[in-house]
Amino acid sequence: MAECKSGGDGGRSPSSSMDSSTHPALSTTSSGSRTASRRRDLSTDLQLGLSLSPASSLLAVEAKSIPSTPRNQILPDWPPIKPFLRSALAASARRRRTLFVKVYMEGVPIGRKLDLLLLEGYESLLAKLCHMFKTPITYKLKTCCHILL
Amino acid sequence: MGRGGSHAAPAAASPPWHALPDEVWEHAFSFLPADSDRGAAAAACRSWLRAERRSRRRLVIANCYAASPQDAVDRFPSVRAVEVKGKPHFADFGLVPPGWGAAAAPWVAAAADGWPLLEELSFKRMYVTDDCLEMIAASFRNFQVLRLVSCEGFSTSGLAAIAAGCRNVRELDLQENEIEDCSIHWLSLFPESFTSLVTLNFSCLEGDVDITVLERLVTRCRNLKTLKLNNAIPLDKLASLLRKAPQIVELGTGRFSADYHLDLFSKLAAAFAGCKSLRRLSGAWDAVPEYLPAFYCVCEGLTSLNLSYATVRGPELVKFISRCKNLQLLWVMDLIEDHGLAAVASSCNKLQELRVFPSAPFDAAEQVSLTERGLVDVSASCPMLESVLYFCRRMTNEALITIAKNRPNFTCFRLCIIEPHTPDYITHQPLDAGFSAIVESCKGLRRLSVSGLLTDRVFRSIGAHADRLEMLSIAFAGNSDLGLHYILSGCKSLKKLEIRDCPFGDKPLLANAAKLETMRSLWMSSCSLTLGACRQLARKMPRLSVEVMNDPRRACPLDSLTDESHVETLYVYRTIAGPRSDTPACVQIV
Repeated sequence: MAECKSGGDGGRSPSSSMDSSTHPALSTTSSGSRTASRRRDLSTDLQLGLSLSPASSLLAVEAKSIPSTPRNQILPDWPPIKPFLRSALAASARRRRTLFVKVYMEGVPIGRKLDLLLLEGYESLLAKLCHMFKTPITYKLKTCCHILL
Repeated sequence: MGRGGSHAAPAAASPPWHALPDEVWEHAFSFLPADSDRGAAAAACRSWLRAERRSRRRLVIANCYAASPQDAVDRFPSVRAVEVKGKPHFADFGLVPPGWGAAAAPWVAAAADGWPLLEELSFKRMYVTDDCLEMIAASFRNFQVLRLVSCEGFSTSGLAAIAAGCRNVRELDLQENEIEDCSIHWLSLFPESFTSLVTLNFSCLEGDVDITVLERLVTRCRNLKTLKLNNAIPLDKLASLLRKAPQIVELGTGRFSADYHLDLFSKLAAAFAGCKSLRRLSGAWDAVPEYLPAFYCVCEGLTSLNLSYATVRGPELVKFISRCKNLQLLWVMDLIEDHGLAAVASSCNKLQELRVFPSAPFDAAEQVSLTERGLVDVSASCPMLESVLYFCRRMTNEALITIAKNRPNFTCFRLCIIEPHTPDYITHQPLDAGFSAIVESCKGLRRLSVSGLLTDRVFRSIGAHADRLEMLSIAFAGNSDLGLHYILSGCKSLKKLEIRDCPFGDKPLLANAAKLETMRSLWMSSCSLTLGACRQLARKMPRLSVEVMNDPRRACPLDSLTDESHVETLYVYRTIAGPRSDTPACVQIV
């Protein structure tokens, strides 16, 4: 797959990345330190610029660090999907690269898990975070306008 | 053979209608579209029975245990096309124990003997062996169509027998079967002189296929209209195959490369540009969004798009589907999300069938933004939408009521809320009101699957209003016996009822025993049934076959259990063939 683009189609300048120091409502540095205990810091200014390949050890560790609880251990025959779809999804999940981060909002003890590779760029990341935390997010654009989502 | 009397009274210009020769009735019956109409005609009188059964060409045995193969051959001696269905629908989800039955062998044997002119054979959810396939190849000199859907028990050796032995085969359609790979190059067994293939579907095959042989086959079969490849065919080979078969109408692509290459993209785009007749597209496993524009030139003509295995997401996916303005059928993953469905709603106004499958059904957390909104939008903007299968994680009564109001023309409505017992996420009420609105509004509803938090109230509505409902699927719903009683005492047209994990017990089953003979089958698993009630039901209704199944891993044989013991799975069906003799140890006919 292509390299992880740090800003989607247009490419965004560094000044548009979310910086927890200017936006008290949303903090991502804490997530970085909490998940970084066993591996190197992810440098959570979200401007990752990582080149992703299946052989990347970062990803191998990342995929194991925050496991999702698979429901199929509880009910192997629910939801009702056919075996072909089931195995296609399993095969796809094994191949799919993931980059999970945990995002904490200040004042909320429970963090939310997020797979960054499922997003197309900063816009969809912001939309996702708004949706997850049910909160408006403000950020500075290159042109120094504040946008309220 | 009846003959009109020429010595009728002078006033009658033609024979009285009831003395018309059989050929006239046979010709008349050929205009009856539905087998049930033909069956009704056959029940009218002896001469109609004779005429109808001798002229029947197509036969569907919806339950292979409802009649014996010999019954079918004796009654309908001139059949040319047969379809036989075996295991119950819940077998698709692993609820039927292995070795349960539904062997195709007795049917193939009876057909070989009684229908030597058979041209088409179709098996669904049955156990088909290589011996069966060899017998088919050897027994029917004019065999043309073989369709195997959700079957198992055979390998590529059996396919080799078909390829080598069936001179005139037109269609080889393998849908979602478990096929053992014997590393035999079955495709190369089609003779060089063989050119009659119209449909070739091997999408479910796991193993490799000789591409050169496939290319030669495709090149010489000029009438090939449907080609569905398997996962072993890479993208560059797809392009060359398409160049050899530009007349293709239905295509299942092979594996998409995970890496984008510009030259491959150009080859693909050029190949698709040559396919002016392409109407139906499927496959696209592991498709990456960058390749989707290669399909752009065929979008306008597409009527059917099956992306249910394509884990592709993002704006490219939506752009691609939005270009398919003439789409009638769309199967897609929930990766399309609500905003994607909104785009579909505004672009694809001719949509008739929508299926949305879950990309992460086993994750507890919501990774994908697909909610009730998507379905509401599509139902509002697509006036011809009549069939829906929708997997999602949340729903509201209001959304269902809106959908019901927008689309009273639904014939099939299947909603699966992934987490059992999920209530309306805004009001936290059961979804009774929503589903009631669906059955009240959609008077032509033939198939319904309900989910989410539901009480007995919804079943009262379904029983009272769903007059045309033929198939109903219920899981994790209801709160008492009343729920099942409402269904069995209502639902005038009910043919198939399948229930799992509901608190339904013996009473409604026994109280409505007679209803079961008007239905094709009833499946109940993980409910509150006792063995005694099943035994009672069997005694009361001799023309029903009452099968009780327990976990095959359990040591305790069913014979030794008392009346009070809990029954894990009950499968009841009407039959004229009596109890079957091929049950495995974990199944007992009571």
